[in-house]
Amino acid sequence: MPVSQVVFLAVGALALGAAVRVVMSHRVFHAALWLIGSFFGVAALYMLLESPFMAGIQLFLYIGGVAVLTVIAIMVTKGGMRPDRRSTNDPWSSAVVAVALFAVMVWMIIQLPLPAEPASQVHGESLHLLGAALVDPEGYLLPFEVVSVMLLIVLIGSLYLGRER
Amino acid sequence: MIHPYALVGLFLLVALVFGIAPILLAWIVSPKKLNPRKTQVYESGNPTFGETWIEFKPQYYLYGLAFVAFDVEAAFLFPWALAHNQLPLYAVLEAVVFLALLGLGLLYVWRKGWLEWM
Amino acid sequence: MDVVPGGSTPIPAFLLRLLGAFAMALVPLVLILFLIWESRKVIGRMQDRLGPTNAGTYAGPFALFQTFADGIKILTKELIIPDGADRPVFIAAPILVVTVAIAVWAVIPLGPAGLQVVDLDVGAFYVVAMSSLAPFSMIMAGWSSRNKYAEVGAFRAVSQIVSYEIPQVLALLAPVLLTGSLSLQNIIQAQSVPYIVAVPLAALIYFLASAAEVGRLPFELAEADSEIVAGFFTEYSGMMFGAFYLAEFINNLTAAVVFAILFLGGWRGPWVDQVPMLGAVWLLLKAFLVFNVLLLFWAAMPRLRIDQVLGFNWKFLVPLGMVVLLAVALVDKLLPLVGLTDPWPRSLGLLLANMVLGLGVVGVLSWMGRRAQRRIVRREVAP
Repeated sequence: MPVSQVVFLAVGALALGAAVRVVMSHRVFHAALWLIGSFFGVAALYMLLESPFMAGIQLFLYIGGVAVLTVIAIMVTKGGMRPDRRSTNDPWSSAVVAVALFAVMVWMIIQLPLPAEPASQVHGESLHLLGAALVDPEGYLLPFEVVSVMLLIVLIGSLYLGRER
Repeated sequence: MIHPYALVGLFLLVALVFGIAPILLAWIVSPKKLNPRKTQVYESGNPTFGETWIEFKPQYYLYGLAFVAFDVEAAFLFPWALAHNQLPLYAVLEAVVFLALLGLGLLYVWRKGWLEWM
Repeated sequence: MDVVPGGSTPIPAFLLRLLGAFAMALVPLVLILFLIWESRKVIGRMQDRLGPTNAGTYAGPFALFQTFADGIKILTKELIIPDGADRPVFIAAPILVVTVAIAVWAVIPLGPAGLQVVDLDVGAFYVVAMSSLAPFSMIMAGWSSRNKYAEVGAFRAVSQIVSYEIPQVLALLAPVLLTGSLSLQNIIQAQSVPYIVAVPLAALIYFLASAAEVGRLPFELAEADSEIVAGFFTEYSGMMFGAFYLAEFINNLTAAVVFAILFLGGWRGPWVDQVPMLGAVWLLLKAFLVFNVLLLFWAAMPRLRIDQVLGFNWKFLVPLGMVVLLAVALVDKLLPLVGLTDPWPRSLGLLLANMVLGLGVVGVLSWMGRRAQRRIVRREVAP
């Protein structure tokens, strides 16, 4: 088995393990920390897919932004450190549903035709292409600007909701 | 030749080793004479009373939200900055629009007084 | 991805790389031993006192080995974990903080070729991504300590660090934009004229934001000795405290080194072509200079309040960062139209734009100051 395969399996196992711990932790704070672990796993998977930029985005935006925000939110609520009761009375049914959903997803993905050859081999240049595409009127310019509008809504909306009354 | 990205992973493991090593060393070398007074939570010499996990101001969370919005903004600027040399002039103007939208939002929020701390 | 393109894993090459990684990870640690001593001496002098000396037990000429002595003392202190603290998280925090501090050094180029663990084509972004992991060890430390002071310190530190990442990234994008690459080697090699000449405003913003990120005074409220005891690491003793202290110094050094790479030309200097190792010397000298300027901040400035810190960021640095980045991009596009494409004219053109912008900012600020002054006077005059 080539080394990359071993690494992939190890990273995947770690990411999945962390994800399982997210759901199974008794304390919300620990769940948040395990979530960060699974984000790390995803970032490593991006590296395996030869996209260091996306891996960096995982670290920068997800861990550095979303996870920090989530943890701050947990810390605001007083009960963050108390062990939580199980949120469901019947964990086995939940497990069955989860496995069934997963099986359906796997079946669907297997139906997809795999590309005959790998995507283009560009490494460092791919980011330049992305940058050019983002501002190209025939490319992704509109989504680019719409993202800004969306962020505007996020900023104003969230600060409006949280304003001093 | 080892793939560069694998090297990063390797280095991270090395960094982890360097992180664990001092703690491990200290744990081996240090004395372990615990008594209840040592393990009390610190409160300037007085015994603590009441719940020690406090609730805090929502302003912390709001600044975090503002940060996330600008974080995503910055992430989008990375590819733009990289391709800058190869792009025509209007690319800059588009970026101006991009930043100006959020910048004006910041200005609005500022003037409305929602950025104040307490 | 092929971990080893070609198939087989040549063991000797792997060991060589491992050794290289260890060596690189040791660089900040070794430098810190010297820098801690140097900091204490220099700050002492700045505050009109002597710093560590041989007043008691001998500790080397000029007390050079003071750091060793302190290190040994910290190592042998008991590791106390407070009652009710969240044990795994409590112990993981100091480990994490040191790991993240060292992790950035994977992409630091000490010289023109080969004196670097990996020259990632997204090197600058890697640096940014790694520094965005910093808040976590603080949250973990503050939260798991089960101590009001620690929690307050953690919240304040996190909101400060997270806020100042924005202008830091915006300012970092200026040299990236001028170079057209995220690779740190490329950024250095493009600096036939150091970027501090071309974009001094961006350099200033990056410097201030970095000072806030590493927790240097005047942005020191995370630690705030004498205010909230020791902030988020109040409950830590022995080497666990030592880890936070170590990580803070490493972060300071890293910030200085990255600034030197981005704006001062990195390992560039005379005779580097003949002797590549000299590159490391130049880089470290420049970083040392920046480090000492940060020390000057520490010695000379008072601590800002959290609302002042955040206000400074969101109402000044962030808007300024956006404007500077856009101005640099615009001017850089316009210069070739006027025919200035060589490094020196280009840099001077950008410098001019920066200075105009700087004057504009100063003008706006003084106008605002005068307006506030007038308002105060009016209030005093009104019956």
